[in-house]
Amino acid sequence: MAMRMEDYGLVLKEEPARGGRRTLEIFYGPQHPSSGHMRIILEVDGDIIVGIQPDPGYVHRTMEKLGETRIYVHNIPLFERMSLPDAINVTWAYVMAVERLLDLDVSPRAEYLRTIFAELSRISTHLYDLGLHAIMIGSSTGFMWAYGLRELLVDLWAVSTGSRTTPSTIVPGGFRFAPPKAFYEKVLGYLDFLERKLDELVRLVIKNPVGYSRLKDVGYVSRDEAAKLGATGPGARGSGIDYDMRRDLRYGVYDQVEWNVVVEDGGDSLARTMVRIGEMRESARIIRQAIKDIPEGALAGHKMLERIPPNLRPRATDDQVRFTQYLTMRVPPGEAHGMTEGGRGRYFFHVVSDDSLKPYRVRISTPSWQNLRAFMRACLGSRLMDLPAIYGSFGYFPPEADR
Amino acid sequence: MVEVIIDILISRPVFTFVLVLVVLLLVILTAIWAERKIAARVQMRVGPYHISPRIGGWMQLMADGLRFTFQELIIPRDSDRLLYVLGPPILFTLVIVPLAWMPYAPNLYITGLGMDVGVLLALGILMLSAIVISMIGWASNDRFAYIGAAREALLTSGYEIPLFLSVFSMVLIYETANPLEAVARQSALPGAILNPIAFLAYLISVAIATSRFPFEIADYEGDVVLGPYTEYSSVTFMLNMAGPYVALYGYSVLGAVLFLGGWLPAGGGSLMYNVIGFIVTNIKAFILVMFMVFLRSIMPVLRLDHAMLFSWKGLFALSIAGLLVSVAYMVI
Repeated sequence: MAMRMEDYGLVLKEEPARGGRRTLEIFYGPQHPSSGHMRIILEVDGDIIVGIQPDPGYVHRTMEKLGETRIYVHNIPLFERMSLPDAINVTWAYVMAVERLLDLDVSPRAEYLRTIFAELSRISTHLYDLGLHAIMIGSSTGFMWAYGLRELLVDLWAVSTGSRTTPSTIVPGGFRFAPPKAFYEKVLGYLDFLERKLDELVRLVIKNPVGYSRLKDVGYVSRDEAAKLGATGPGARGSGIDYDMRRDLRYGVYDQVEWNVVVEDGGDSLARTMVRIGEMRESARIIRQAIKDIPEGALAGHKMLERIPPNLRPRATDDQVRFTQYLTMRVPPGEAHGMTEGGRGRYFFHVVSDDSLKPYRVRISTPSWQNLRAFMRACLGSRLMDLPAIYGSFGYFPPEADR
Repeated sequence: MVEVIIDILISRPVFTFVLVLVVLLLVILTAIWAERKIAARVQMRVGPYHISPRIGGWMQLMADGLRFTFQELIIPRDSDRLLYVLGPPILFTLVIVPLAWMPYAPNLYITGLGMDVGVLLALGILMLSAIVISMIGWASNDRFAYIGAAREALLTSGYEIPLFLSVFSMVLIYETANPLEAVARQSALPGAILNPIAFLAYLISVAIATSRFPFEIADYEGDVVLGPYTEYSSVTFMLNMAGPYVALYGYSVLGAVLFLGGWLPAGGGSLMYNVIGFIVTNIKAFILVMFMVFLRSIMPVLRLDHAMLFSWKGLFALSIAGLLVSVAYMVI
């Protein structure tokens, strides 16, 4: 796409016609208020998008290659930087794969804590995406409210793990930080506040006649197309595909609490947004039940505890998991995968080990990357002003897609 | 010599002009500050604060303006240089000139020249600014600016006729296009009560004309960055940003004069009454400005084709209804 400066002028570029049409090529990003760290090469015929080509890769950080250069536990803080809003679900998928390689068990208390935190992580991601979606369709108030709500949530993370966005709290076989008692009370209070404010957010942005017209019937992806293009998360459930890792793979304690998979049949931006809203309500339900049922006990599973001398065991997991064994842990050769349902969809980690301290290969598949094709399909034929509304509805997150 | 200068200074055109400029500056500073403060309040934030914390960050805009003044002025190589540089000053001039026919008080107006058709003159010149916005969008030779300019032109076709019809309805009711007489005719009831439909059509048209939310379509950040103004920097950027606010003030004063009774209930010919009338008119205009800037905190942006449908089906019909009300008054 080499182009001389003189050729770049508007008049010259507008002339070449396909089928007698006059189209205009637009480079949407990577430096654009609402493109994120990616470029979309658009071809517009008047106001209609007739050609669209994604150009991702601006924030490729060689996560997979870096994963081969670090020992297993040091990969946890690395991988959660892929998608900071959804830190827990990313690391859970990776840790799940490592646990399968090491054949570790997880203590019941750790499973409950993981579930609570994964749901908080989902709420955090959905608020993040809803906020960005709101500012993309022009509602700065929706943006500030969603981010303000998320601010309270990351403060809760800071209370229990000491870090607002990078908790690194899921470790092989256990859960690293036991939250203080105040955390549980604060989470319950936060959930009440969240549900109240969420109603206001929906009234202000989504039920608002202007916002509704921006989302309704925009960026339609049919059920078959969504399945064919491999959409995941709200991108799939917004098109009527009843598919959720949490229910279908039965990890964590999701099968011990009552909740529903949120599915909308619309297939448009509105449906994907309503899936997000509904999932946040369901997450609140799950967290409330999990907090009620959470058992006492060790923070790590038996097999991890058996690796240390008996006299050290009580202190190793009293309020925090302290295993120096993690640093010298050799993983037997083999391969395993881990999958979780993150806020934006399926996180997939495939870890190959070769009996050394570091993984031989880590293959990562992230939901944003999965959703890219459906996102592009949804844009085709829509109006230029719909592009931000569709972008935000998929919650496409370039740092996560580029890994 | 000194007396001559003083005579010129206190002559009506010069005195009113200086007064209007000062008030305009204050209103714009306050309007943009209030826009940000109201949005901040709604959004659980503080808003502008650190420049002049004692008056709530009111001088933030002055600091911004100062910064823009000292910023480098970049003229893109491929732009139409003449139009690119001339555009913003022309835009600013076009939105400020209509204030010449705005009567703030019985004896406080800049010029009596053409006052008999003052309303239409002011409106006509205000509407011209859309052409200049399209022009600067074209001159930038930037794709986003180009699309923004095309959108501005499209939207103009949507709001121009309703805007004119809603003003024309009031001209029919008052049977004059002279703003001074128009205010005098409202001594019993203000225009907004005489013809509320025309007032509503006027408000919506003004919101589109000055690209207020939810009609901030030509410079919608989501897809066209800043629309026609994308390539501008430094002083030209400042003029471009201030232009719509000055236009908003102009439309609001016109609205206050036509629909809200201008300086009424203050009246009379003495200096005191004129000063009070001036303040009353500006307060009424300021309320309209506040309403317009408040929309930012509650509204997303409407899509272009929906906005066009809305203006041609809804707004156009509304303004026709307003016209019919006026015709009914005339017949009765």
